[in-house]
Amino acid sequence: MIEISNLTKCYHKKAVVKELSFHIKENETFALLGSNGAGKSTTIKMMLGLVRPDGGSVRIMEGKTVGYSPETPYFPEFLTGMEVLAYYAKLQKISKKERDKILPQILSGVGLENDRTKVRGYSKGMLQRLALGQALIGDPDILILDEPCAGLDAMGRIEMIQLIRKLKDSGKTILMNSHILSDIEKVCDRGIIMKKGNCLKEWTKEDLADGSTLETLFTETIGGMV
Amino acid sequence: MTIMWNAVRERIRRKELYIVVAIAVLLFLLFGSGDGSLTINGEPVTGYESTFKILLVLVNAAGCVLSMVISLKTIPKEYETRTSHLIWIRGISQSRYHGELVLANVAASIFADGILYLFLIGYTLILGTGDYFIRMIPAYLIFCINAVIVSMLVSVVSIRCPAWVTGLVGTMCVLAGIFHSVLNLYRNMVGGISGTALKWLLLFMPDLAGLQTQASNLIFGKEISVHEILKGILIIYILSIGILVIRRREA
Amino acid sequence: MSRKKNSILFYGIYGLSGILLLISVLVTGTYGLRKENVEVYEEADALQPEMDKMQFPGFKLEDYPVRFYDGDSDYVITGTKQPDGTKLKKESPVFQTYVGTITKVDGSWQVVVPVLEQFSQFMDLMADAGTLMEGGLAAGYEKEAYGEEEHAATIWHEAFHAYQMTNYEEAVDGLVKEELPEETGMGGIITSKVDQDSSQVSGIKKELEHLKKIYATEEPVEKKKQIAQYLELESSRKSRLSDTARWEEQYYETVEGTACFVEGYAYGVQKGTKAFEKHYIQNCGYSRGSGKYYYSGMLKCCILDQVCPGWEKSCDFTCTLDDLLEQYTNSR
Repeated sequence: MIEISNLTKCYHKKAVVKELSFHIKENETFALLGSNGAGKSTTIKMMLGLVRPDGGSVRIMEGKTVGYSPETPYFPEFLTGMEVLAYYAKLQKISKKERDKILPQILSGVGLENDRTKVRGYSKGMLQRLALGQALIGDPDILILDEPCAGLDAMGRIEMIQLIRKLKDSGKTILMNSHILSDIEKVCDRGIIMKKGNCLKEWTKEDLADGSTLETLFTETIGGMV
Repeated sequence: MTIMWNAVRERIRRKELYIVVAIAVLLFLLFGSGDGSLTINGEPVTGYESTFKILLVLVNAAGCVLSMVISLKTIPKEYETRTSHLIWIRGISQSRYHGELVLANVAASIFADGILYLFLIGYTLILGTGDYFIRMIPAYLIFCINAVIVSMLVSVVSIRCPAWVTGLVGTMCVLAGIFHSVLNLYRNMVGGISGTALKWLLLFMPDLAGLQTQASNLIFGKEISVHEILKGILIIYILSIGILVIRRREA
Repeated sequence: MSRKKNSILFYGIYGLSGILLLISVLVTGTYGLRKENVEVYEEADALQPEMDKMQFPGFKLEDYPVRFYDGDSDYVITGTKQPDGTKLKKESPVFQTYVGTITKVDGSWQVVVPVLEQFSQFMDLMADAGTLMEGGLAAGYEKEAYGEEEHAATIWHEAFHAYQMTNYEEAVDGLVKEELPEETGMGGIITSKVDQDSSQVSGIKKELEHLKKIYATEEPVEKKKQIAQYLELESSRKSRLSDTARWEEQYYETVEGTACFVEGYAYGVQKGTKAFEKHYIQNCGYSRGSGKYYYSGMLKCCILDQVCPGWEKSCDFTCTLDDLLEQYTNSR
């Protein structure tokens, strides 16, 4: 579904992503793990075309659509949640008839009310949900979620993970980026552990089958390079 | 035009338009009521035509400054807040994205200019004659070419340049444009290297004063220079090419 | 494919409209010298029969090419009585600045003036700002539109300077008896010695008012008496000046005053005596720099015109206007 080959990015002659390679299979939920500054967000941005790589390539299967939920979403404060979705739906050239049908479903699907509350009155968790909601417009085949649980409280995280699991069950291919390991463990099938732009280890759910946790694996991997 | 309308709506909620209205009201209270006065060379400026010409210059200057202020941060803010990410990933071209944002700036600038111009219309209705009022409507179309030029110039520069560069370029253009005829005169008075340097600077600065003069000529029934108006439109066209050509490397 | 076609169509129309816009800008632009300036020259030239009444021997506008500077080039108009009519030639500018003056080109003197549209703007600016300038305007200059008639008069003013330098250069140079110090230059002594001295300033103001009064007096005997009084007044003030300051004063009065007189005459021919008196006589007043001598010299010429018709015939710049007035008062 997605093929990353030798992806490289440098800022001020310093490599933030160094010849990164991995692939994501269809219907898979894949995780990018790493501490702050590992290059996870940069990798995602290169995959989306938001940042130009200095080397390597990103190949996404032809005909597949991508939805993106950013880490710190910014939406016009004077709009309501529904209006935000409608704005992005219009940009995707979805007809009014279609919008009237699917947007309320998306909004309720991410756990938001279709009321007159403006975005300026949204909590952090509501903003994250709205971000996920706009990513779902157009029913994309691939979802890229950048720190979907960032800033959420415990309940918020639980609800978000449940949402992601639902999306996974509906057959979507998901790439997640997070440093909350317990959340990753609950939903992801595979992933890589990054540090300073390098891929240190590729892991699968089978690696955790013997009772070890992702946290242990992560600590061992990262610790081994200290 | 989804992006444009969204940007226009956002602008309506910002403070800039209140400042415009405040400036217009202030001008009206100062000059429209007759309590304000101007003196030049120690003599009071009386007579509708004299005062009107000066007010037209002031309104033009205020309109250009406001256009610059309105347009300065629009595009940079989109990238600072990363709103651009959700636009880029939807396959919307930079030309379209920036173009619609520029259109929003232009619309807001024309609107702000219109509020200031309304003050002039009010002044005309109270102190002037009916003839002037009728001609003020088409004159407004010429008048707001200046606002469009400044808005587009600042917007296009802001696509790639940092805010301080954009501000500097915008300020230079507004000042050089408003005082174009005076500076042109000055460069020929001084001559030499300064004169030559000023000549080249003015070559790349839009003649905002020239367009304002044409609007004034139209209002007072004098001959207007079509060449000046077409030049202004050509500048707008060239700036529009900037929207198509200038791109950001990253979102 | 349809999208590609739309794209091609869009860019095609966009490009074409740009080309059309560019062409229309080029077509509507003015190139070369604007016709108003040629009209100004022709207007000035048409005044020659009236200007001949001034009787300065051999003074003809057509003898001095006029260079119109538009900010980039000089457009030289050479007479109207040539076999092939008025000649207009574009040349590199001699001065890359707006100035009304004369210059020597290929051994002969030529008039240099800015194009009307620029000079008109300049005069508006000066009047609005109430600026005093060297060689120019009196304080409180009344804002009047500077148009074709005014510009034609300016051309005559500068043409008279060309006439002075062509025919009387030695005499004109001789009005200043010694070479002035380099750092001072012409005009520098006036501003440093005359304008800084309050008794000189008040004296000059009185003299200017006196001259206006003489001009307005119709009774000949009274007029002669007033001229004598004036000369005494002036002599008393000038005795307190240094030689160099005195020479400068007489230089400006004689050279610029006569040119200003010619300018005023040309203005009066076009706009009438009343307009001349309003624009020139009433505006005569004290100003810093050499400008005041333009007016005092002009007033003296006007008075000479009244009391000694034909005085111009004997004006060869070897003597001052005061000398001519004194000759008159000493005569019967």
